[in-house]
Amino acid sequence: MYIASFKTMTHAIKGKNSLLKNKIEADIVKLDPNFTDKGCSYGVQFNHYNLTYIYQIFNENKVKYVQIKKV
Amino acid sequence: MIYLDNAATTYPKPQIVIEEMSKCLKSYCANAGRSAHSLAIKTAEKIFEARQVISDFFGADEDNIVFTYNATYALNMAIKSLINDEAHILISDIEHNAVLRPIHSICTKTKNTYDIFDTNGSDEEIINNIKGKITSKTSMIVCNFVSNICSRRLPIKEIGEICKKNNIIFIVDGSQGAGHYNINVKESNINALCLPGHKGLYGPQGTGIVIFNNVSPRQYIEGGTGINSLELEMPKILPERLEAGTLSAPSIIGLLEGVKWLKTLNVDKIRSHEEDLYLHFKKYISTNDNYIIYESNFYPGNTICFNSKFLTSNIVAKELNDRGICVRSGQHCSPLAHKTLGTRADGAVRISFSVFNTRNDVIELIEALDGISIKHKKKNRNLI
Repeated sequence: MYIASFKTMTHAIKGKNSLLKNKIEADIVKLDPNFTDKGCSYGVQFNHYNLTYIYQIFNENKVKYVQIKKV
Repeated sequence: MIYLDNAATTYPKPQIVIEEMSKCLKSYCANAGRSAHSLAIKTAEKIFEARQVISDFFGADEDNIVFTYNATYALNMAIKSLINDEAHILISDIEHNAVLRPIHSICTKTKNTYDIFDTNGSDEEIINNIKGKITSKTSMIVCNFVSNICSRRLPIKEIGEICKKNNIIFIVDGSQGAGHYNINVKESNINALCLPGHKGLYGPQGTGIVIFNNVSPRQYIEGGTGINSLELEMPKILPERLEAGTLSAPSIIGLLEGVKWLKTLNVDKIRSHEEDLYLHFKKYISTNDNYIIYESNFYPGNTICFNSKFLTSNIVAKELNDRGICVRSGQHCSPLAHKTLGTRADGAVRISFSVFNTRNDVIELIEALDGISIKHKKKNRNLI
């Protein structure tokens, strides 16, 4: 399982939608404050083996993510 | 009642707007972007959908859709977050106070200056007027697309081209144009399009939008955003950079439905319908000796203003209200536009149509005005 974190809710939703469009199950989750060291934040949780593909999807859809971490 | 005050706010609203707002309030209206439970996420996703639909409607990027409370807030945000120091600003001579007042306020408190360009004439004449007023310090042009008291409209695509060539920020007040004409921010080189949600977009009051394009607005508001709370600064990216505090989800969802409904009707067909009503009424009012109009040579539109030769605009408006017809009288928050059109100290009576008005509404308006003239003409007071 992975979590992509985002700077804004708008981009978290964009991230989720871009994964769903590519048939990758994804959910928005609230992240623990220490996930980004910046306090409250939102991420998108998904499970996919190929992170390169995930980065490609985000880039093609202009999704501004902060980082993707394995959890 | 026959409602002819759509330039103030459209009424009624489409049934789907009312239904979806009600559904939101009953079923899922949580605080978007503040919690992670299902209702909050659903609310946030509906607001995101609104950004997507609106950005598609205006040819913009969805990240650049910033929600405000009305067009006045949107204009203040756009102007104050994009203005340079010691800048020269141009506005038109038919601007609403939502443009004139913030510009005037900025220029009386800083070293910024502003000039007003003439809009009386052809598009080419207007463009030449603008070019004649541009100086080396001109860094912003703010103007409306369509006046709020008459059908005069400005060649915003051509103005956008001038701005692009001269590196001038172009802010458009789309309050009376949105929903009546197609507006594409990228094609018209508009850097900030400021809109009310509650007029031609058929959303509820309490909604407004700034659509930014190719600019980086400075910080305008600070507060909670529900994310990265330990950071003292607001997010660096739009739209959250300029949105703080709780958004009005039911209002934005109402606006979303209004824009979706407009798309099903087609803006060109709406305009054609409104212009038919306008021309029908104009034919009557321009040939009636008891009344004067102030816009003989403009394009047809959906808004027209006039005065009785014998009664003040307020009395005409009251008489029409007594006959079941809603209009607005006075200066319409646009004293500059009234001065340009040459109306009176009491302003004028304004009629503004929407897609919900019919030919029968115009017939009843005409009959009412005839009745008012007959009733009051004997007082023989000439107010011209």
